[in-house]
Amino acid sequence: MTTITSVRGRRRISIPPPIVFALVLIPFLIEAVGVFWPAFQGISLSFLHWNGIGPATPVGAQNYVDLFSDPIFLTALKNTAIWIVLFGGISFVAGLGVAMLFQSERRGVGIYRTALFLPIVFSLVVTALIWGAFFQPNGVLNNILDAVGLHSWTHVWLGDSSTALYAVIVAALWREIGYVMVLFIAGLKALDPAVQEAAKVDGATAWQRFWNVTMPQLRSVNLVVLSVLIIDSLRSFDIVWAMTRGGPYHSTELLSTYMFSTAFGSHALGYASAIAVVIFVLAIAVIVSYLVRALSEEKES
Amino acid sequence: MTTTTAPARTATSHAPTTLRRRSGRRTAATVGFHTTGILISLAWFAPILVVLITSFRTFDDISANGIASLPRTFTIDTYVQAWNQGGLFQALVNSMIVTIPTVILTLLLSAAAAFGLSRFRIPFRRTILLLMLAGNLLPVQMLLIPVARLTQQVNVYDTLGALIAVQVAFGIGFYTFVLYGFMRTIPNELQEAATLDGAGTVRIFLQVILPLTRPALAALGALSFTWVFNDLLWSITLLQTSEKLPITAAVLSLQGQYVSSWSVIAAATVVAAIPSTIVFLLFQRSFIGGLALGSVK
Amino acid sequence: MTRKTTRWLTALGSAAAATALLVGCVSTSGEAQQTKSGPDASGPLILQSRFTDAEKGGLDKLVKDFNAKGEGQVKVNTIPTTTFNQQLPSYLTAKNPPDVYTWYAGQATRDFADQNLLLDLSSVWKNHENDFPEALKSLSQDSSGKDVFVPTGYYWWGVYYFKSDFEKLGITPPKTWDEFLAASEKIKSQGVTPFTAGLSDNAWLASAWFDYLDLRINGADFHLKLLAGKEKYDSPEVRKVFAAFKQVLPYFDPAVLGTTQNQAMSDFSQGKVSMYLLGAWAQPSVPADKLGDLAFFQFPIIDPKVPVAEEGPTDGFIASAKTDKPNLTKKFLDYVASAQAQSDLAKSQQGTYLPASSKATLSLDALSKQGKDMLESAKQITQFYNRDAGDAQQTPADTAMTSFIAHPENLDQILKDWDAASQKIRATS
Repeated sequence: MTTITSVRGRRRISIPPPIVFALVLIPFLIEAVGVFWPAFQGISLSFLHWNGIGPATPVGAQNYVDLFSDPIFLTALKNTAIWIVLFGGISFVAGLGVAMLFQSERRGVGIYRTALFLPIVFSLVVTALIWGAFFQPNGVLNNILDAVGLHSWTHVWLGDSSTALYAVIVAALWREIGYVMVLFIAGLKALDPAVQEAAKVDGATAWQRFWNVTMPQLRSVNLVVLSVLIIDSLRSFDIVWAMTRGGPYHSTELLSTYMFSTAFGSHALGYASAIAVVIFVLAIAVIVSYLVRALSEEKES
Repeated sequence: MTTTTAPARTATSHAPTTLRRRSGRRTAATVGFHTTGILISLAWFAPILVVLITSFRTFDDISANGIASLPRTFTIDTYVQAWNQGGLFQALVNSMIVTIPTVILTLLLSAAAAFGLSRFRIPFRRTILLLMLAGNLLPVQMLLIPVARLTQQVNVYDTLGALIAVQVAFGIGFYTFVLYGFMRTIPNELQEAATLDGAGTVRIFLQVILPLTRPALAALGALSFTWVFNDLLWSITLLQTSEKLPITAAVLSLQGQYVSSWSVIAAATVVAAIPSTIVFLLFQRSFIGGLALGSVK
Repeated sequence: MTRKTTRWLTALGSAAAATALLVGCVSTSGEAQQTKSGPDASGPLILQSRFTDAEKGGLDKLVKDFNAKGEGQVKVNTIPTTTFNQQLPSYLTAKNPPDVYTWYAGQATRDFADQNLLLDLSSVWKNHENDFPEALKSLSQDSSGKDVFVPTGYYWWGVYYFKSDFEKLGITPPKTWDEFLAASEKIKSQGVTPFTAGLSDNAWLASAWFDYLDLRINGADFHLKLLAGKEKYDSPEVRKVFAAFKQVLPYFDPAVLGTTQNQAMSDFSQGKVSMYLLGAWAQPSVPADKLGDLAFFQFPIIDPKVPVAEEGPTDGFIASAKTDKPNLTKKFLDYVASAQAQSDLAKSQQGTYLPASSKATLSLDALSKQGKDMLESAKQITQFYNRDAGDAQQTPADTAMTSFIAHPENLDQILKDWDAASQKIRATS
């Protein structure tokens, strides 16, 4: 950011005009009514046993105590951690990669971007079916492996508890990378091209330019994308549910699928709310601490 | 990339051999670029291609040979059936009625909030921002029943308006956060210049800041459209009458209790994907926009 | 501590306090549960239906005929099946619930009835006293003996095969367990897989095996007690069931846990797999040119001393106790119980559905006739695992069955886990 030495110095507007308060408070209040208020109710549900049709029984923190001795919950927790690292990490790197590749307005780039974006607009029910077919014991993947002589690498992808989670992650990545790409392209578009030019003239290699010029400039976009990925990882539900329902025997169970099956399968709404609260606390813990630090840094600059 | 043209211009001042070497390298780079692009696109497009192929096969073909087999039939009956049986037209209309106002309202409100939070020193502004984002960290399933109860108490249950309101409320937090990130990078000088010219806050918002955030708005508009259009959980929780259900539910209703005609469902899926694809194709042209920053110099 | 952290802690603290205050404010109870008396409210009767796609033709005709009678209008809301299943508790406890619902008999209906959510349909049953078999009457009552369910039809389960495949392999349909195992061995020795199931996305199909083995070995009484939570899974009886299942496991497709239903059915139709334990609803998913070749046999008898029980899941209608049109509701359900309506509904199900009413006109093909005879000669009819035990119990069953298929040596742990999970669900819901 260039600095201007002007008569007024660096003083910004100190007290914002009242209209600004309105601009901020109206959306905030809408969210408060539509999200925070029901969220409080949801959180208080976690202190009850309720099946959705009868009267509810208050049980204090019993749900939470049960959670931490529940082997399925612990499995889901572990799987969710793996999911965040693999799904989040690969989405970030691959999304940034294709965004860098397809950011300029060359001929044909629109087609490539659209190809990466299309998975998002196609309903999950059918894409889960296709991916399921891909991973079948005599499906496309195993046939390809056989054809190139890698028969020992074939697996019962969706039926083997050691591979099922990774198979579903592949399908989920297929959808997510295009989404990350879009966010990064918008971010890359907002960058100042002159700085890149200057670095090139200075003789920096492409990798040096990327790491020392582009990435720092992308810091706030990276913030956004990382937050998005954490949120999406914790929210990932549809693709897992459609492909395996959390099976085989909970090896693809995530916190989100477990919450869904306890709410609508087992009709234990209080327990499901407790899981939801855990997800929420996890998300807050991961994102907010990172954000608070990043935002305070920005305050200094 | 804008930088690829620059070296060519500076190269004219060098010896001709360097120019030929440079353009040779450029052709190789272009070929490499397009090969990579095509490979990636094919890999990504392959499953969708299978969906398309499936949508043109007959039921018996799929049940006899499985989804992943080569097609042995071709029919457009599936599309006819999906359109008629699934009530796709009404469902598409419903989806549009819900999605378009939601996207416009959400982006408008979020941009306003982001503007206020990023360009002015409002007390507690970072707390407010993080609180708003925190609203999006809540798992949706936890909110379904309380929100449904809320809409029943206010007597707006089973209306498309309630669905719009809930979708807007639920999206605001995230989009405010993203737009905050983009708006923060806009230099102060532009805003100061406009204030010096006597522009009021709202004018600064509409005529200075919003245009500069166009790439972000375009990206978020496309994403938001897709997200709301493809939403299923909120619509099935808040709507009870089948005529009001959007396209996602209509596609789901083509599934039988035990037996589904996957080709018909694939056809419906293709139809349901068309609006979001069109929106993306339109908006992705607006991703160009970073050039406005050069006006500061 | 920085100012930022202090601010955050204050915010968090006030949020926690507010939450504690609000704990009691959650609206978990519905509105008043009194059945309205007096004249009906105006407006059409809302029928919330889970029949979609190919299945709803009969229902549409039924509603059209009823509307033509002039006693009142009925409007059908067709909701996707999985959505309907999830949302039914919400529908029933809403402020203005739909009036009538398609549903099935068993624990799920009893659960709603126990919460006084269902309309008393005794007057409808009185009009049709002799039209339904005795077994269906007790199935349609709640725990206090009140009639809450009007059955419309039921279907059967059997081990399906293709006649031409069996001829090629030289197999005749087995009747006893030993014959069954011998046939499987013979099929396997000829390079064909005896059994499969689409367990990767429909794990509940494995419960059919559990149900039938339990019915054949321990009898329906034990089975129903087990599913109601009155017997333990970690018991010698259930171990006998798994011992029998272990005998059959070698004859399953080794990749069965990773096979989707679509794949399983196409393998079956192509002859790569020769037998499949399925419900009658699966018949339409066989390609049309192979339908004439399709046949099934009764799940083989294991212990001839155990009275023969069959699974005959029954579908029907329930009504909300909070309906503001009780008279129209009863008139409509009266029509539903009539012979004409029952026939219409059955006819639209492509031969997979047997009408509940004995007065309905039947046009049965060979398979339906076989199914009907099989169910009528059974001493007892059960509904299927999730319908008898409650939908909530299905997940632990799926886990137990799939774990066993993958690791039969872990039976002890599997049964203990099943008991624990099952009890926990009963306790927390």
